[in-house]
Amino acid sequence: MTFGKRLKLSLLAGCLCTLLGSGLLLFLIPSIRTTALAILITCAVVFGLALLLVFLLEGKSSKIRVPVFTALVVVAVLAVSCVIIYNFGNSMVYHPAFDEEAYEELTEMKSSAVELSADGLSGWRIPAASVVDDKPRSVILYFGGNGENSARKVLNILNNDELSFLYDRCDFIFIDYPSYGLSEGTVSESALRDYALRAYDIAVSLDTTASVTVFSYSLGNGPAVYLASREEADISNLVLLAPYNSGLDLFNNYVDIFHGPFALLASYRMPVYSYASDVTCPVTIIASADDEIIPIESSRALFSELSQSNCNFITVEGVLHNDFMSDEQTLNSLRTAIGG
Amino acid sequence: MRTDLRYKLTLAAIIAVSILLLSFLSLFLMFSSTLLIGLIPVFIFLGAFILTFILGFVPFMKDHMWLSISAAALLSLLAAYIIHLLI
Repeated sequence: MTFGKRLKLSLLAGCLCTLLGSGLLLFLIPSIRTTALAILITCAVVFGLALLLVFLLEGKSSKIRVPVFTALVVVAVLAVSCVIIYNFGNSMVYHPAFDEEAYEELTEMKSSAVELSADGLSGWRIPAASVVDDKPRSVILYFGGNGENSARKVLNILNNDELSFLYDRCDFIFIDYPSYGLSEGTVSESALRDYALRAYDIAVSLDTTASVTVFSYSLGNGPAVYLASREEADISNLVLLAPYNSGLDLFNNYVDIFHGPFALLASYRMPVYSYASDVTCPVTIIASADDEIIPIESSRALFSELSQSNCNFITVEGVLHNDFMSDEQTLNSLRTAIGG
Repeated sequence: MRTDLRYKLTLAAIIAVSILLLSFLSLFLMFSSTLLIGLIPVFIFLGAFILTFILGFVPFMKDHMWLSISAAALLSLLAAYIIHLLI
């Protein structure tokens, strides 16, 4: 065997092994599996098209063949890029997780928190601390951020005296998004809208629920405003912490390309602004001028879409996106807004 | 243009597999938390290339290169699975 042939076969082996090894690794990671599968299907289509073109262009001059194959490669690269960007957006927006440690700790603290489970959704409720067991009280229905799960959030609230206003005179309920915690299903934009209605049904199905205050943070603001805009939901108060005007704002804050037809590449486009005009309950928006994930301009844009007569916009300074719940200005504003 | 079926299939496969390979590499770099994990495909490539090339000098393997390529492919799958268990 010649040196050249040996080199060529070794290169072929390298490529084949890279493809198999990295392919297997990608398929073993659940969050990337869909993207890898979509790429595999795209490449299978490219193979079919390339084969078809080889047959169709048989006998044609290279002046025709070269541009056609170049165009095929360019289109294929663009198609694969679109698949990657779309799926990358999904993994950027949603971070489903089940915190087993927090779950077990909460299960042992039976008197402080109660597990809720209905209709494939699961979450936790902290009964009001200063209200007699069966007396009607207000409920805070919490819509969390993309990295939050009910067990960890509820445990953090119970372990932090500064946050006791969230369950002092009212119940605090946090139901996990689909695929988060023990909730079933797959999280998506439409699943979040459906989730909002189902979480509300769980809250009002409790015998002690007198009224519902919706409190949302970050990603949760989309489904929260959607719920408040619905006629069937009777929301007494809406408190939005770091809200966004549209899901596209989250993407454009990373890379400012999701405009016009490119907006279709964003997997989470939640048009919160379109629900805002139907919200009739009092609204409080708390946003930070230094929020690096959701720019304050997006929160202001949402504010301008809401009915100004019963809407209050509070700006806090020097607070990063993940630091709201440890910031004194924010907690004071929340106490006032929620009435704790 | 050569007209045999094998040539046509090879040409179509080269285009599709190249794009697949590039996509997987970019996916790795995008989703990896560290550069070391992002470079795993490069390490797999180098490992397979060196292994096949060296085996090419062994008298028996010299005439059975497809055997060493298959061995490298199996080893790369095993390596990927072990890496998955480690990270």
